[in-house]
Amino acid sequence: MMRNFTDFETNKPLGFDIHGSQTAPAVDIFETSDFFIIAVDIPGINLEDLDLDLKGNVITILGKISDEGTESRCLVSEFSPGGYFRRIQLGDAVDTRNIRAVLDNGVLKIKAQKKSRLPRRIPVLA
Amino acid sequence: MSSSIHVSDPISGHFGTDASPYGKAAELTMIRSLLKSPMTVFPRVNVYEHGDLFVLTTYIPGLDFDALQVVVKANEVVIRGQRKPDAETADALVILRERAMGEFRRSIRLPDPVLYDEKELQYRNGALIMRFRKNQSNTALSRPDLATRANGGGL
Repeated sequence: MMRNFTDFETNKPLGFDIHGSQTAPAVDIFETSDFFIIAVDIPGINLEDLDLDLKGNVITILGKISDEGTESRCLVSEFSPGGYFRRIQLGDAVDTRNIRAVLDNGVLKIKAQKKSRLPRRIPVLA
Repeated sequence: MSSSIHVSDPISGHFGTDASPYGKAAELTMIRSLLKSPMTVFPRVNVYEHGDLFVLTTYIPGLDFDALQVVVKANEVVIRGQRKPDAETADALVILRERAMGEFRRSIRLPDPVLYDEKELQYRNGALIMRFRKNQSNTALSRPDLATRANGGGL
């Protein structure tokens, strides 16, 4: 059971601040007839500061927010702009060769095509 | 079909279907812990003071900026707006839903009265930055005892 709570690469249990000040962004996942659509809230991230990787069937989202050292005095602090980290494991129904992503106003939208369910003809040689 | 994507992390854990290895009880525990978390406050706001400015920063990804309303009354700033779901996924099957949607309203009281200028709003990459200049004249007006004294009136 604990196996599923572990990091995919390091095999270390998650939730022990192994990724510093980064937080896990909120995610929506939808399924249509042809696609899986993953929407991730990563506000404050510039496109050049976003790393989106696919290794095996695991998507890794890593966004860094550079600390713009300010001389301002903080009066209210409800969130900490430290960056984002999250991994999403794709299942067998996803065609990992057909994944596209768009970053729009702080929302990362990943669109993954489903594998074709039509039977594929296998040529038979004489 | 819907078990084709799994999300595993310290916050959401492993949400999924009946096929989830954690079972329904574990999933419900995770959902409850999410509901109790301060995530339900939306949008979260940071306030900074910089000289004669107050700077409010907040994250509202996917905001309909034209529909954003900012109302300032003396030292109270009210932000009102809406996050609309993506039209493309309106009829789609929902596997996981964590992102806050719908109408929101936040009211923030600042230490001093401020002036609002629409041009001081900046929305970039889902981050909304608002700058408010302290309203010095308003401070005097809001304290008539001081204004009277300044005008030579006496008690």
